[in-house]
Amino acid sequence: MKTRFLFPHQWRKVGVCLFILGLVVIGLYRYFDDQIVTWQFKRHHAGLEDYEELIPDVFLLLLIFGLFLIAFTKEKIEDEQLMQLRLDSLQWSIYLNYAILVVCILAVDSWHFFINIAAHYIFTPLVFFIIRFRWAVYQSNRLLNSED
Amino acid sequence: MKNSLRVERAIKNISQAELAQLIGVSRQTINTIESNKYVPSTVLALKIARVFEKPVEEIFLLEEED
Repeated sequence: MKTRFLFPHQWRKVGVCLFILGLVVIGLYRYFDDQIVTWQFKRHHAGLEDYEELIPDVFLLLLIFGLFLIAFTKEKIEDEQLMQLRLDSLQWSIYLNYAILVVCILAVDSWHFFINIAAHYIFTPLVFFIIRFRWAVYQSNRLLNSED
Repeated sequence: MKNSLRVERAIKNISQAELAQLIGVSRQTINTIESNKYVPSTVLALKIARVFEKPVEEIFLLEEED
């Protein structure tokens, strides 16, 4: 079956690697926060280029590319039923995403805090989609095995 | 919509896996069609009918609520 807009199956591993790498980058960034701030401060005073924005950029790009590859790679046997599951999961994740957003709008008074929450919306549609789709695939495999 | 896929398979004596391979889909897809969880596309229904050498309407049947 012809499938559009999907990456080859093997690329999922690349996606997982990028995702883990992104987490490592942000982990190290948090861990060495003080040293990085001092280093930036020194560089700034020495009139050198500021790298402060670079690390969060790298982290975001690694996570986005990682999640994208995990979400949108082909399965081993790709067919129309899988595409249906994929679309259902995508719709489900967008619904959930906006449901949570609406709850946040209603429940959170502080605009600043709200923006902090909303920042996570960079990832959540992809994360919800991946969880929902993997669950649907798992269920369909379980159904198959229970028939054997 | 209901279907007689399971019966047709039994008559022709082919497994879900064999049928899946013949029409180029996964076993899961055949299984979900047989358990009425998934309605195949026209193309897929025609391919299945071709395997059993029968018209589509003999394998896939509309129900009252359709």
